[in-house]
Amino acid sequence: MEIRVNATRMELLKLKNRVRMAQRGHKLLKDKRDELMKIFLGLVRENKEVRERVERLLGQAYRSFLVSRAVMSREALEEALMSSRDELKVSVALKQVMNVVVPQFKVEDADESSVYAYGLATTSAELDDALGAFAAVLPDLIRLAEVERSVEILADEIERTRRRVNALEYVLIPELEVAVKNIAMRLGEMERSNATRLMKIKDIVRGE
Amino acid sequence: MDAIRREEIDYLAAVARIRVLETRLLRDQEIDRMLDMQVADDVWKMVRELWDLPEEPLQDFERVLGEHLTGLYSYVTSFLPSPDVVYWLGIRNDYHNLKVLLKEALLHETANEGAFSDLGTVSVSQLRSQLDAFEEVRPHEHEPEVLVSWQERLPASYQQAVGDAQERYQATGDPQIIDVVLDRYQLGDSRQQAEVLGPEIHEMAVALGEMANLKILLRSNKLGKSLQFLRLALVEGGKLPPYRWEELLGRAADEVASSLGSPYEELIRSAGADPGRVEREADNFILKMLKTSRYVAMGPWPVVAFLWAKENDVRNVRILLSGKINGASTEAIRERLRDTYV
Repeated sequence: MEIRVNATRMELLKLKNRVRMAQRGHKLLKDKRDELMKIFLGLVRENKEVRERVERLLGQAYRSFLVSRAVMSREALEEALMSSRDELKVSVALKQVMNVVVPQFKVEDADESSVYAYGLATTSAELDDALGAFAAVLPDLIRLAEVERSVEILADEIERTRRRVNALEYVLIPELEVAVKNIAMRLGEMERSNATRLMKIKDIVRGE
Repeated sequence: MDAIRREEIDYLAAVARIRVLETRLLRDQEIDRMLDMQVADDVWKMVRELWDLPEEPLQDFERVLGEHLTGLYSYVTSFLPSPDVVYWLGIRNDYHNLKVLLKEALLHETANEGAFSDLGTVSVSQLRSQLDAFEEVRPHEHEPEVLVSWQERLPASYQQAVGDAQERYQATGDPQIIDVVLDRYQLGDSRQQAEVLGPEIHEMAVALGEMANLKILLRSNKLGKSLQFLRLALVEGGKLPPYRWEELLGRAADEVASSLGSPYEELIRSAGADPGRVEREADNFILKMLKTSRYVAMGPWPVVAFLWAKENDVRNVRILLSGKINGASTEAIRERLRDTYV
């Protein structure tokens, strides 16, 4: 959309300042986008690694649980898993990455042995292996949740920043530059017209 | 002695019927055939044909097997001269139901329907009402038995176990203590009640306690449990006194094996010190004890052996079906299967 302003020197100065400001903002946003992109790609790589590890470990844990499920009767298993010895506490903090707020989850004092909340005489040792495997995968699972949420938030922010950069680069800055150019041309024209008028007046005055 | 002999003669007809039922227990060849089958549906079909089970879909196999076992228990009870042996086998299920009910009450949780066993000697609803009235009943303990009807009270051993578990839970807040205390009472109670059922059953009850102690020790070592935990969990009344087991806490499996001697040494060595395999070997050890009942013509011992063997079969079928449904390899399934009785 064309910027409509009065063709005055004041407006020209204002517009030139806006162009400078927009170019500076554009550079800053571009840097921000590049930096966010770098962090985003790092997190995506980590996300891939952690997800693969979690899927592998969960697969092993489920296979192990399947064995204990087969060896123990349904009622024995239901009874054994009715309770846990401790509550798992996860603290949630917020961290700023390039002014973007991402979550940070931390398991507080996780005691792996707290998952074994059943008697050892009437349950199967296979259940220990299964629950041990589930307990072992938990920190990775929580890290995965943190990374995946951060990736989502960063992706949104990158998208927003990209739109701003594009708006500045392809819309606002060109329009401001056109407006500056138009005012400069109009002012130049006015100046030339003034000069012509003055010369004409001078000729008239000399002829008299 | 006379009394025992007379009781054993009473079981003559029952043992004859048990021998017929034994022909329907799974054999090694049948297990091998099931192992070779590619699809779980085929295994389920074969089990249904062998045991005359209703044509229910594969996903309901747990329920069908449970109902089959419950039906078999009531059928066997119907032709026994006395239900004592079935009650003896049901003690562990009563304690199991007590564990669930106690956890419900103390942890304020609601158990799934599937958490209760139908094979106990006391129904779950009766246990629940007795447990609810437990606090009210206890202050009258000093009153003569006739004042408080036996039907309204838990058996004395159950009462003691529940009281102890409640007390210890309230002191520690650890739900594991409920299982540990009730398991110990259950094995002790089984051993005590087996004394009147004959030497073989008593020997089996002692062996069950010993095998439980072996399992507890090996798993405690693996999970890094404390001496205090081991002391609380160990079952008394076995051939080895508890201090012998306590001495082996934190020791390597090899050392445990050589210190315990026969038959534990062979069990641990053949299982490669893995608690899961030791458990399987321990189950096989008990099954080997049961096989002596095949040369016994009368008495409750063959009845106990048959019912135990049937439960062993049901577990083998469960392992086979779960393994096949989830695509486990034949080898993985085979190494978890228990020996057969027949």
